[in-house]
Amino acid sequence: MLFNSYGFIFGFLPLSLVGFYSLGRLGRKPAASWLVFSSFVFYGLWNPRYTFLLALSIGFNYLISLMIHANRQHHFLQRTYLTLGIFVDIGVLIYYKYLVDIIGFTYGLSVYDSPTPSITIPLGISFFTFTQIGYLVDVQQGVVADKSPLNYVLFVTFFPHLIAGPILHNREIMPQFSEKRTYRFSIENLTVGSVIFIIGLAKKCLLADPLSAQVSTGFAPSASLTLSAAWLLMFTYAIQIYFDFSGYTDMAIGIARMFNVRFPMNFNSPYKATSIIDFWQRWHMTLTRLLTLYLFNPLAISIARSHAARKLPISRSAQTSTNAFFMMTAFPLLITMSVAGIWHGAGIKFLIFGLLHGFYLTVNHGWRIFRSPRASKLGPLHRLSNWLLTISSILVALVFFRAPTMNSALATVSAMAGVHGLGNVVFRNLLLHGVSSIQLIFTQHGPAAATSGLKAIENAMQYFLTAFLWFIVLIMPNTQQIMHKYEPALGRINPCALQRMTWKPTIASAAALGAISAFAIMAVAGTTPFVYFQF
Amino acid sequence: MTDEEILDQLHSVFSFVFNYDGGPLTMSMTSEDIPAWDSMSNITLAIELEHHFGIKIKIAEMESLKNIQDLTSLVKSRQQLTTH
Repeated sequence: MLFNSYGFIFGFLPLSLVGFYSLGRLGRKPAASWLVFSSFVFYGLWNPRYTFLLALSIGFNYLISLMIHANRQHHFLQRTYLTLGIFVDIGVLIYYKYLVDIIGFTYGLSVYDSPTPSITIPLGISFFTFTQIGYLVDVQQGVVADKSPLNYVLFVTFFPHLIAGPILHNREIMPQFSEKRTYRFSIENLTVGSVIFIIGLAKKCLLADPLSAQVSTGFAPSASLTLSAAWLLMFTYAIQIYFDFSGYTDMAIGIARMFNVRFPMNFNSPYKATSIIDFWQRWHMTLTRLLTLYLFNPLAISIARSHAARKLPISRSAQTSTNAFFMMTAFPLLITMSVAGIWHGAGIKFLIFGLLHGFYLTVNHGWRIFRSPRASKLGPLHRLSNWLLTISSILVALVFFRAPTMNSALATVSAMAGVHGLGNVVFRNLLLHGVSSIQLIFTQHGPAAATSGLKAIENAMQYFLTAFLWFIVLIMPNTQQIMHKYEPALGRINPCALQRMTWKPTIASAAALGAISAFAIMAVAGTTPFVYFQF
Repeated sequence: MTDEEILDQLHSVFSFVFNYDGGPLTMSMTSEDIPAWDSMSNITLAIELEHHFGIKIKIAEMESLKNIQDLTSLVKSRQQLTTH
């Protein structure tokens, strides 16, 4: 079920809220059970068959967690159960998400002699698999305090995050499900949640969706783009995916808040980043956190431990030797970012996306390690050049994320390098299109002239729209900053310089939100699925 | 070990791991106050803390290595475990 559908907004959501708060009067357990039931319905409305898979996966992982906990005195047994759990989880994930592509690949090499079978990917499988692996690891490490089955099932299935995150950590969510006040109706939380939800809905329906047609045309096989057109395409796609995914996250955070639950922050104005390290601290933050905690840290620590055991120096100055830098920095980064890439889907494109970011991060960390840190603040010109380098690197990697095929990705990257000519410079284009389109409409006759005139106006509008949306993400406060007085999400929120942009419950803001939600809800009809649903 | 003793010991760990040569460490300091303290050098810090204090840091505790306050209490609680 989509958050941006009439069935959800006017049917499912109000019903589950009313049920939750009515049962909340009877106590914690009935309300929590109702929420689990609603979440399974939410999942089952999309594909009933896979609710069994979800239930099985939860049952299996919970059982493993009990076994791990029961054997805390037997280190070996504990590790065996953990390994078994992770092995089965990853196996299921590979079966549903990657097997078709792997078979397709071997079929192409004539290794396998029947055509590719069709398997639908269960929605959100990457999300609920990794959430649960994190839980198992934490149980094994002895840092999980809450082991109640009801809280566990609710933590995994709670429908606002079930399909596309934010990726929750048991430590921040399970305690909230134990608190009594979570089950008491709160008008403040309902209001704040609704405001965040409306902001997210507007981002998705009013800002992201209108760009999707233009982006699809740009990646069509027939498209042969000039340098400026290719960069415009990537600037447009970057803004589309940001408003799509951060809009989805806002909706998830808003819905959870309506149920008195606070989710972690997932986006913190990522395009304001002035380095790639900074970017990953701001973009899909809960995925970065997950991969850092459960992949990068264990990997890097075991390498560092083996260095230390062999009496090799591990201090910061020692890392400036090429060998130490490769082993302790580049290698774990490249592995982690490859997994981050493949996490999004099978195929060489996602691997390249991950490897590119692994390479960027390695260069960024290398820069920090090999040059002594400077305390002085950077000047505006320096910051601008850092930003430009960061954004262009992101846009190049994003080509491999979006392009339908490898050929299309390579074509777009070569277009960005200017293989098909520079094309009209944006401003000249604007002027030409703007003036000529008006001329065409007023001086010439016939439908063809009018069509080409309108087409030119449309082109010019697209430049304006993309520029306007970049202005929003670079200058304006983000959702958390707008809502910062009401603790919208877990994590530190930097207050925004534009104090006037923060939300207050006034008549004026209610009218503005009413208007925005009316437009957004009217736009729901022509909406597209979220980009992150495929992961 | 008292907080002051731990802070004092941490100073020498920090000068080794981060080339830190600033003034004495205080409880209110975080990774943002020390430019070289990032996710990457955090690994080195963890290993060095293990050596220096003779403790074992769990992967799940790595997240708490972001400010002096949490670091001090981690060292303290771990040392109590090993001495008893």
